[in-house]
Amino acid sequence: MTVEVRPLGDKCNINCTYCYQESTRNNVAGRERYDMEQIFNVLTKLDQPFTLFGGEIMLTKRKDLEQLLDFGQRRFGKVGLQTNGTLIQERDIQLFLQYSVQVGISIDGPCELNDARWAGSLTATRRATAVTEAVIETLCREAAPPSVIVTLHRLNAVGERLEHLCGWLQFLDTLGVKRVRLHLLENDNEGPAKGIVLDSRESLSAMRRLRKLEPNLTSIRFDIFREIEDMLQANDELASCIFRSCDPYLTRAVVGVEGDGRRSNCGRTNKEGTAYVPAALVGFQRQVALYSTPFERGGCQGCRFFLMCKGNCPGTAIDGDWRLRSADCSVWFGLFEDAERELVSRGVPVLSLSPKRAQVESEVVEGWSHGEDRLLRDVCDAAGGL
Amino acid sequence: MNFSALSLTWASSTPEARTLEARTPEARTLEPAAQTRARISFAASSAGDLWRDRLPGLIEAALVTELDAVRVEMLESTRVWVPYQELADFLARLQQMGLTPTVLASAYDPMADPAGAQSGAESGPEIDPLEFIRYQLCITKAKGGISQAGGNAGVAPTCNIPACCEQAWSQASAAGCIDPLAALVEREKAGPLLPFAALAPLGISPLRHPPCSLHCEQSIAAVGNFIRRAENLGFVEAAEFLSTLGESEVAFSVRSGLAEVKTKGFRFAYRSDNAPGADGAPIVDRPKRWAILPALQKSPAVSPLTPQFASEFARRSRWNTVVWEQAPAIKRALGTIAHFGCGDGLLLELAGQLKSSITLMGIEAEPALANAALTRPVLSSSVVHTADWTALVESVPLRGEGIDVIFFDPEALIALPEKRRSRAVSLLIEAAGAVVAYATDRALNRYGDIECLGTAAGLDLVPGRRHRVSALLK
Repeated sequence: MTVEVRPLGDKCNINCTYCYQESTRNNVAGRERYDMEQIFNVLTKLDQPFTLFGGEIMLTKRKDLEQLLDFGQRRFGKVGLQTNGTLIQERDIQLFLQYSVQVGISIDGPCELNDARWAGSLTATRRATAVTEAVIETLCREAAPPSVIVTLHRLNAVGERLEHLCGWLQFLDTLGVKRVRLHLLENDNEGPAKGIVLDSRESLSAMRRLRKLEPNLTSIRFDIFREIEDMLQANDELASCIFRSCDPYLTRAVVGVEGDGRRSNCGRTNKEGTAYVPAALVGFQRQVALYSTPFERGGCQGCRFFLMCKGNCPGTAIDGDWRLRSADCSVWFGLFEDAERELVSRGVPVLSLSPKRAQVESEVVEGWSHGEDRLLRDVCDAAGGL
Repeated sequence: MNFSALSLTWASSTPEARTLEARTPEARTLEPAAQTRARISFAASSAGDLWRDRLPGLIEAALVTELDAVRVEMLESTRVWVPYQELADFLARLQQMGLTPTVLASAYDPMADPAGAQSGAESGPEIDPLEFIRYQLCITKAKGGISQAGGNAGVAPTCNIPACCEQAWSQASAAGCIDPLAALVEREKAGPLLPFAALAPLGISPLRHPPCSLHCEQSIAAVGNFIRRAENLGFVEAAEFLSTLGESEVAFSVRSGLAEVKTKGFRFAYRSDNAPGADGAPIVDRPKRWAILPALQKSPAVSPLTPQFASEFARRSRWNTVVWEQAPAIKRALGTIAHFGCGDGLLLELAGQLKSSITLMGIEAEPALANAALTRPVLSSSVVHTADWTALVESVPLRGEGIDVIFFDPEALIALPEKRRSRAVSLLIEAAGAVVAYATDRALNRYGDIECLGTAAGLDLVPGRRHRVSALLK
């Protein structure tokens, strides 16, 4: 479970063309006030390490930011912070170092590759990107390399731009960046983002190119490829949320804590401009339904990778409807196929081709029907392995 | 009493109607209403807050109104699912009302969450397994009990299911339908009964049976009667709210066999039908239109790469970092920012990006690079001298030229004789308000950090972060 603390909600200083928070940001008045006492009360109750999040977290007053970082470090020994990097100054670096903050930075590439993270004008956007690049280098030099989130779209993941992105990632590798998370663009906005969404073929091609790049990197790991391999081997204890049975009504993988102490779901599940408060109980209706729904109706019926993928993130579902599988299905299918082929060639047994898959499916789906989400590892072990 | 756990099944001649159909033969049958209510997701808005506050009252109103209908024999019986921990209180209440329960079924409900364990609350005392048991009770009038029909004089007994609705539901059920509303909406799209029917799975609706049509007049009358009876029983506020329900916006859809109901205040979902056509048209990929993107900006014709940096990415990142570190000095500048040894002008361009009102000036020994610098739009009207700056500073007085910031590479000074080096540094300091030494990759590889680089170049640097890549001269 990741606890995301959002004192200022979706409030942000830039205006990324594809931001999945845009509709809720437009529908909910910008939050200027937050209640630190309430936030600390909830964090104490949750008793879990947390990440500071947004919108843009660096819009928070520095003294309050420091209090949160201090609390996280003292209580849990670690604290995270996810930022676009554009507002970070020297004094913030000192803060991050002082509290050993695990910084995550969202950037889609250097200079013009990051233009979709729009800051109001081209000059302002380039200026903002320049700051983010500087912050990455600075943190690396301070032996505190940030993790990087890169969203793939047409500005950075086709043709020469994709090669430029690969070159830049190789540079980040030399700086000592260790973890890069790749995101496929989730297009909730019918605006500028429409023109930069990759089609499935391009998305798969870009992911494959980056997968091919990884062995040449000494430091950077694209965790998504490792996870796919792990899921194929039913090693799902540490799987990220997109491969777990996400309930959009109560996102267990992400628990948001808002500025008034209210809990919230992962923002990716908010569609049509409505942010919903988490339901009281978790359920797995989505997964049960997808298992039985034909492919042509938006389901996953018959897919050998279903147990590993589970329809993927409901925030990326077809038509923005959580009851359907991910719109990026063909990309995930392709990546699972690639990994399956490689593992099989190495003699590694995989769940997708296991004679026990039907049995495991039956037990997992049965569990979902009763509100239980069993680890694949446990079910497979009980079945005698793959 | 936690009324959110109590629920009413939709009255029907088919007892199995509206129970959650198991996906596998081994799965148990569970009653959906309480489970559905437990999974309500309220909107994070005033509408959501309003509904959250009203819901317990609506549940109580529906339950008591229904039970009272049995008490006054307007209804022969009704069914209620009751969780174990509420059973004692509920039975006591039935006794007070002169009603008798008969247990029809019991079910283990793993979705029950008596200690709030699922929702992530703090763990409490060990949970009694009995707390996961629910009982389906058939409630009837106690034998020999006193009928109090007079208390409802003037209200017609309309609790029985209209014949048209009974027939429609029997046919649908016989055809395998488990969700009356899905078929209705598929056929009629909208109607006055839609909000009432859509909210029935929550157990709060005054519509107590699946209607044959969203326009069924008898069903509409039944809704009105139920609301009036609730009002007569004292649930004035609930009755008033329910009477406005018909005008509320309710969206209903079925996909992948899951029905979802959305209002302004909340949403919930439940298992529905998988009938072809019930969940919309087949999914097709929609063609996309692409934005036409410009080609990547290339570096000026002459390769700017020097042995100072490992790659163009490294060079750009370093200049970005230098500009970021020296942002305060750049932002304070009112006149000119200069880069001595400017190469193709990238650092100047990035400084100009930070403060567009300043004048930029470069000095570069390589003519091709100096010309390339002038091709950058931000430098097109700037001055770029083609010269070795270490010699130029000695021959051309720069003091008083309005230079606010000078950027330079200390490595250029290291090769000079000490006297010349000292003189050059003095001239730099005289020429500008802020003089910034920076470290290239090559310099860092040779000297380790900017402090050592500065020492090697005979510079007195303002103290700072050890791993910075630029520093002001004192």
